[in-house]
Amino acid sequence: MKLIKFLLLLSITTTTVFAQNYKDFAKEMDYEIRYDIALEKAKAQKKDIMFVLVTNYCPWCRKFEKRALKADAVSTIIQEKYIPLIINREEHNFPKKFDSARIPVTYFVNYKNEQIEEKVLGYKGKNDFLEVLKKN
Amino acid sequence: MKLLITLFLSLPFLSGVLYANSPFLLTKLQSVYPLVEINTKKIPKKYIAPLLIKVKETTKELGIKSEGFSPRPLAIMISHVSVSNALVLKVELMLAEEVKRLDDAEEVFALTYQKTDIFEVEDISLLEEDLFESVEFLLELFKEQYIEDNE
Repeated sequence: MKLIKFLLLLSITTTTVFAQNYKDFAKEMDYEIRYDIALEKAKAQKKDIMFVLVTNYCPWCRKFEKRALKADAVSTIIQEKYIPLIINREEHNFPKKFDSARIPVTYFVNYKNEQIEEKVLGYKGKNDFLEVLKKN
Repeated sequence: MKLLITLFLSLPFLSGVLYANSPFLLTKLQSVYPLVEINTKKIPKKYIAPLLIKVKETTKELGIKSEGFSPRPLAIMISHVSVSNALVLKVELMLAEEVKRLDDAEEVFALTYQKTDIFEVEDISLLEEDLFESVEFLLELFKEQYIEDNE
């Protein structure tokens, strides 16, 4: 009986982990997953928002998370300069102006007026994304 | 040229008939994220919604969960192939997901099912009919294999 309970629990846990993998990324890398909370935090800390819009099914998004955003050099700059935010486009829980047909897309958003300072479309490797971060 | 188009279109069809099944395994498929992408301007986007319903009907019939945000897309991809002046459509049904390599346990993105149908739309007034027939054909193959693999 214990074995059955364990297998059932394992199966539920696995499903949850796979169903929410961008949320796992957010938790691991200390990203916000709600726009309103990220904005509130950004205003309090006087930092712009780095908003990464992904989808649950997009391979380029997973690669971007793993190869660029998780890299130490990239992550250090992000945490220093921005309030990082990652949202699944399919959940439609962000202001419409950030919607994009192409995914992933990264926005650098001014915390004072919510204007998009820069939009980076598509996948970027670690070095290319470092250049983007240094430029901003 | 007509012969060339016929030959070009016959090859995938023949292989499809010979191997209605595919080398992929469809066992224990718990959830998918149904998706329809039209990657050609020759096909109106209005077909996305009704085709998505077709995919959802199939997954529901098979007991595969398709609500929520599964990272495993079951996608219908529609594109066109340039063959002379003919309108040749390529319709693919594919399943993709992150898997772990057996030897190094690296997580990589992989296609875990793929079936293709290529056909010429000879009469543009029958485009919708041809397109839906192709999608239904691919979904039927998927369904047959899913049932067989899970027996």
